[in-house]
Amino acid sequence: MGSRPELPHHISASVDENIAAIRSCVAKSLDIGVRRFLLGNGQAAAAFFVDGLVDKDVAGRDVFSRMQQAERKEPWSIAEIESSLLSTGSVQQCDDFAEMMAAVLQGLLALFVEGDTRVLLIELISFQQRSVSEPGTDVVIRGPREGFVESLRINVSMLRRKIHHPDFVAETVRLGRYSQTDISLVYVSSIVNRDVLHELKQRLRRIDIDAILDSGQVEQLIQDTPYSLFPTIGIAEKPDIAAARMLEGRVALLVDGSPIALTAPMLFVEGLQSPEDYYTRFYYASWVRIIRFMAFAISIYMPGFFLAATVHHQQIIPFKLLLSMAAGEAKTPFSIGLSLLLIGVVFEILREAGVRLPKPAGQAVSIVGAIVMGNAAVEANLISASVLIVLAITVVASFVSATYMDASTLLRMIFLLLGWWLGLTGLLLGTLVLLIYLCSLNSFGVAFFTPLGPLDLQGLKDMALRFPLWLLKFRPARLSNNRRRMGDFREDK
Amino acid sequence: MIVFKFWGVVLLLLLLALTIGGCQARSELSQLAMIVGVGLDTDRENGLSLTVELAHQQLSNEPGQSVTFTVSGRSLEELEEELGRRLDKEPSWSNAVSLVIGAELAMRGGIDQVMTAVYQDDRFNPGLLLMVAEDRAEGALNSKFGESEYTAQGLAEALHQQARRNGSKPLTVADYLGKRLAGSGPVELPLLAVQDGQLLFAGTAAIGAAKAPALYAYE
Repeated sequence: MGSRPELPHHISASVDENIAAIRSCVAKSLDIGVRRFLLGNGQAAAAFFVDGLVDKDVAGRDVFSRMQQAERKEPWSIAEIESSLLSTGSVQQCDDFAEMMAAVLQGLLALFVEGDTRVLLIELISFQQRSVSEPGTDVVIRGPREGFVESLRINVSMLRRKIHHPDFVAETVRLGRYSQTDISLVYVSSIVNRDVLHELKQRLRRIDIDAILDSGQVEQLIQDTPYSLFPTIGIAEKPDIAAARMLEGRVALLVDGSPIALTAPMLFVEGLQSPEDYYTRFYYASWVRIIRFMAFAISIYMPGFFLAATVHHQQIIPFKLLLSMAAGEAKTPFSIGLSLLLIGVVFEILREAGVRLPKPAGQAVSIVGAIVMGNAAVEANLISASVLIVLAITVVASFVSATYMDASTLLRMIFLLLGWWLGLTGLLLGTLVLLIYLCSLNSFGVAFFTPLGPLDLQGLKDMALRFPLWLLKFRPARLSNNRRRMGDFREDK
Repeated sequence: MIVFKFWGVVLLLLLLALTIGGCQARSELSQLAMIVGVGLDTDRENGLSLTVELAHQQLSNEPGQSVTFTVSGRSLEELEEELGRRLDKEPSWSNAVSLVIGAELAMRGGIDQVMTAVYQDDRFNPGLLLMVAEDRAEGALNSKFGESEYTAQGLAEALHQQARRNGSKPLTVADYLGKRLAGSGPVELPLLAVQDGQLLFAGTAAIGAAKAPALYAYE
């Protein structure tokens, strides 16, 4: 392992010394560009940049060309170049070598001139990036379609376009010893819960890691309970979702290179809500939400309940159904519990294969797996039709809430084992433990199970039911100290 | 670490309590013999005779078909043990809907003890309907009741329909015991008779009169 050369503290007045220092730092990197040139008066100058991150056409036209044509006998200072020669938008001066190096590696162009101990950092960032498109999740029929991309700047600007207010704040910190990833904390200063913001900054400050490549890493490093089944930090792939949460008092965390924003604190109900709930009429939104809550319960309980009923409490199954199920079971070699476990694992494999494979192949695998294999397994008497139907309904129900898909998969297995072992008693005990667990979870000091535990009557208006917008006058309790978000315009009429 | 140990101990104790408590007792559907109807008679040699009507689920892809088994013994426990041996499956009582008492047993008295045992056994359906056969319960359960696939089910459905028409409710084992405990005299139960291999309702029978229980004649 080679030792890292010691960096000079300050920029030297000599262009040659600066170039030598830079080369000693990044000697073997092919993408580092150093360009020497002379100003119109013969004064030596040099530009230092990362090839591929800087728009060389703009640099040639707006920086090098103007400086080479600058006619003056006296030597130019950095301050004079900034004020008189450059027309590019974002320019800043710097005299610290390490800061200059970091800025260049982030994509800025550094400009030295002979005789000045400062450097100009010019923002001419231009690199290949994905255009704004609709994300794969949070798809809506009604509502904005744009999703976050990998560029932090673009993501912040998308949020800014939603909230045109001076209280919109985007603070940036840099994390990752090697990746030096920019992370933006975006919030509305007059709404945000200051305690949450303070806690979030504290936790970010404590991160000391080689690299941050995606927001998922930040999520794991700052969440309240690292072993929690449920995520205690929300995710948003679309700016309208992130903006709506910011307007409820949350903080959005954008990571450069990640198209997924984190939002904190997170409440349990968030995972069962959709942005579309607020864009459609309230009765339909409420109906869909109830369906989502039911689907979440089905995705957790159905196999466990089915097993509990068939092996412990046959009396609760209608007689004709029981007979038909028993006839199906009599032909299969496995017990119902084992069938549910095995087919549950097969479904998980199919889902994983469907997601990871290229889209056309993934769809084919899902269809072949779900229909053909399932049907063949029943016809070959490997499993009974009732087991297949129960699992199919469960898996489809689990897709309704993508946020809790991993939690519901694990809980489903736990409740399956409890139902198998202890019947309805086991399911009841498991539910009690789950409720206690949910009530014990916190997200940045805010109870995760709010508005149910602790009870917030105002919050219940936007839980399983979505009340009309004109009745949702208050932000969720504990998310913001500035709770009122709407006037009484309906009453004025 | 202390928290983990605490919750570990709590979990262990909970699991122990549940395991010892018998909550984990379970039976696979394919291993169950589903009993639809139960018949009780006197038996000259052993004292009691138990007839069960089974839903023959292995053939349920074909039209429904019931099967009856009769065993004899000195007590209900003995009858159940014997039945288990004969069936080679675990008897499932929870779907039994009709309990038919043979005339001789009904008249002999001591039926209250049998009813109490059935009532206290939580494996039985609390809505188990009670009726008396003019002759033997075994014969009644081996007869056809109308077009019903299972005799016991047909009887129960007919009693429910009759009760709906009359604005009353059919008599369950619990109702019978309630009336007996209240001491309001004999309890009237539906009476079953077999004619040409077909089972039909032939009136009512008064059980538990002050003297010897008497069967009412056809109404």
